Amino acid sequence: MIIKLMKQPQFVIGMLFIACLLIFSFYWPSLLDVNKKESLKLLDFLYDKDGKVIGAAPFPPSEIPPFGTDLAGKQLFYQVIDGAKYTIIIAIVIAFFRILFSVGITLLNPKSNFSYLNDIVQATLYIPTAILAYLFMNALLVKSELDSMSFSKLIVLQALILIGIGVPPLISTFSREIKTILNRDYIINTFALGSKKSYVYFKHVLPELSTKLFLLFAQQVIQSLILLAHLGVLTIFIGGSRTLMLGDFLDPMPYNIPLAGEWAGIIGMSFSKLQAAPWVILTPLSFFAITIFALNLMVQGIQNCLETNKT
Amino acid sequence: MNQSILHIKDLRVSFNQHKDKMNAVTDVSLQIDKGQTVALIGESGSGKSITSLSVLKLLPSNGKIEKGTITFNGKDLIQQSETNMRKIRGNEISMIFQDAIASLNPNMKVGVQITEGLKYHKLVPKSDLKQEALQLLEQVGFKNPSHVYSQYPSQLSGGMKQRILIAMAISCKPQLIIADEPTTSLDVTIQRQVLDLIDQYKTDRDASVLLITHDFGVVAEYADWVYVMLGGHIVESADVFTIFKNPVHPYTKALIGSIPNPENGQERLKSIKDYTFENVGYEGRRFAPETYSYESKAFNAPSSLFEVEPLHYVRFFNEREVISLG
Repeated sequence: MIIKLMKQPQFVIGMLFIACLLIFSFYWPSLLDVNKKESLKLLDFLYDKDGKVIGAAPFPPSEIPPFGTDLAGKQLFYQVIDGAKYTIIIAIVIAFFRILFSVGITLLNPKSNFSYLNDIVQATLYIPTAILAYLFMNALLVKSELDSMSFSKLIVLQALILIGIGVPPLISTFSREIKTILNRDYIINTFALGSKKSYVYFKHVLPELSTKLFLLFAQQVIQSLILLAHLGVLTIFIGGSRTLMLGDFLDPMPYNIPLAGEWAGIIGMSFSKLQAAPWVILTPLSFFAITIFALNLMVQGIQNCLETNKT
Repeated sequence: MNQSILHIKDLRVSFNQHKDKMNAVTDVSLQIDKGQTVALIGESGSGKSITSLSVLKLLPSNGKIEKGTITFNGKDLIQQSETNMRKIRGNEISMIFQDAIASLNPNMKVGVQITEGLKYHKLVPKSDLKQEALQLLEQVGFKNPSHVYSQYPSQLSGGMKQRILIAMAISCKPQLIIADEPTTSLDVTIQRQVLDLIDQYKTDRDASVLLITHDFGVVAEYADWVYVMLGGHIVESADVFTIFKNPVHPYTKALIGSIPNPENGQERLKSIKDYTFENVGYEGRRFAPETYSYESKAFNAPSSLFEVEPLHYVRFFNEREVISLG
């Protein structure tokens, strides 16, 4: 399967982009020969040679290239590059566990139609996933503030919510797919030879599903990225946030800074200033769009591979 | 008296379809003796394959064995746990399916598939699996087994695939082979080759064969005993000579009558008029035998097998019909 996929140019281009972005995100301080702490420090004001204030954050891309700064004066370029690994890894982890749980649950009872689940999926089809996620995540954030939950526990619980929201529709998809495979004659033939269910699942069902699993996985990564972006707009940050007071004591301006550096956080913390500093939102949004485009290329490559298999 | 290896008694299998229950097999009884080939013959949908799948307890998820016993070597298979059934499947009873193309995993090499049964039942050490597979391939007539071993099913012809299925079925040297229309998808020249292979195995191992077919030509050549099935019922059973010499049930007669006879010259091939089958007037009775259809107005009336001559059983609605038959 991997060899077949490597023959699909769209898949290779998409994968190379994601791989390069991740490598760059991990090693950007050494690749760009900069100090990470220095590059990501707050820069409230710009001074001239004489120490006079000549500007205040947020700085547009024309003043601090290539993407300007956010409201707290942190350079967007470094933030976006550094946040790429968190964003992509979070999306990959969510997608992976969604697939793992849904396949596992389906294989526990492959004969079931999961009709009750289909009903739930149908009923919730028209409710945006972001709204559902917002309801649960918001409640969790409130609880985390009341109970002073640890950072890691909060991230795990948030991830579980994001995983859980995507599992029911996937179970519904997999139950159909797996049932079709289990009704194939060669599966009955294998059972007629005395095979165990586990053998059939691992040797026949999962290899048959593999390309489809890969396709659904890539689609789930995209969905997770979109969901993260939407949650960012709704000021729900993965890992929570801390509040920074900008302005002066007469006109304090509370500013939420996400604790994890993922892109949705950058969008969320500046969304209210969209008109004043549009580049702060547009930069991470563009990276979201480019990453989703790269993933879509991979999806296209996998779909081409599936078509080739059919013919 | 021969030793019975499989004895099915009053088997009833039903299927749930949209909250309705449909009987696919009703009160089927049959017996296979050691070293015997028993043919189960009937048209598509008569319940032959369901009967055979019941023996291995591999019915589709909506199918259920309602009643009856299936005794294999003294064990009631219906009462066996899934673990015990796994030990029996492939090892003591194996099955050859009709569609060789669909019965092999297209993404797995033939050699790996042949050794699956041996692996499950741990009959051969792992290191000897390949050697055993090569021997099996040779046994089913492949001249270059090592080449075939590493091929995918799509690289083989229909006849070759069917021989692979036979190799899989005989790999664990079972005592009973259920051959479910093993030659249906093959051309005539290959059909004989495949059936000869099964027959050869039966002779070599003193095994038994349950041959499911709708071809009376195949029955005449290979079977010792015949059960004719229709609408989920056994309608006639006897040894192969009696069935051909003295068929009693109109359906058996019609089946035999539909075999092309070159001596009849240009006479049209006889077919079974099954419009009666669809006629609501018959109230679900699957076949209305012409000879006594006038007598039997209540087609839903229970029917049973009557012994019309020693060891020759025919299904009738009541005893009067047997008497009227003379």
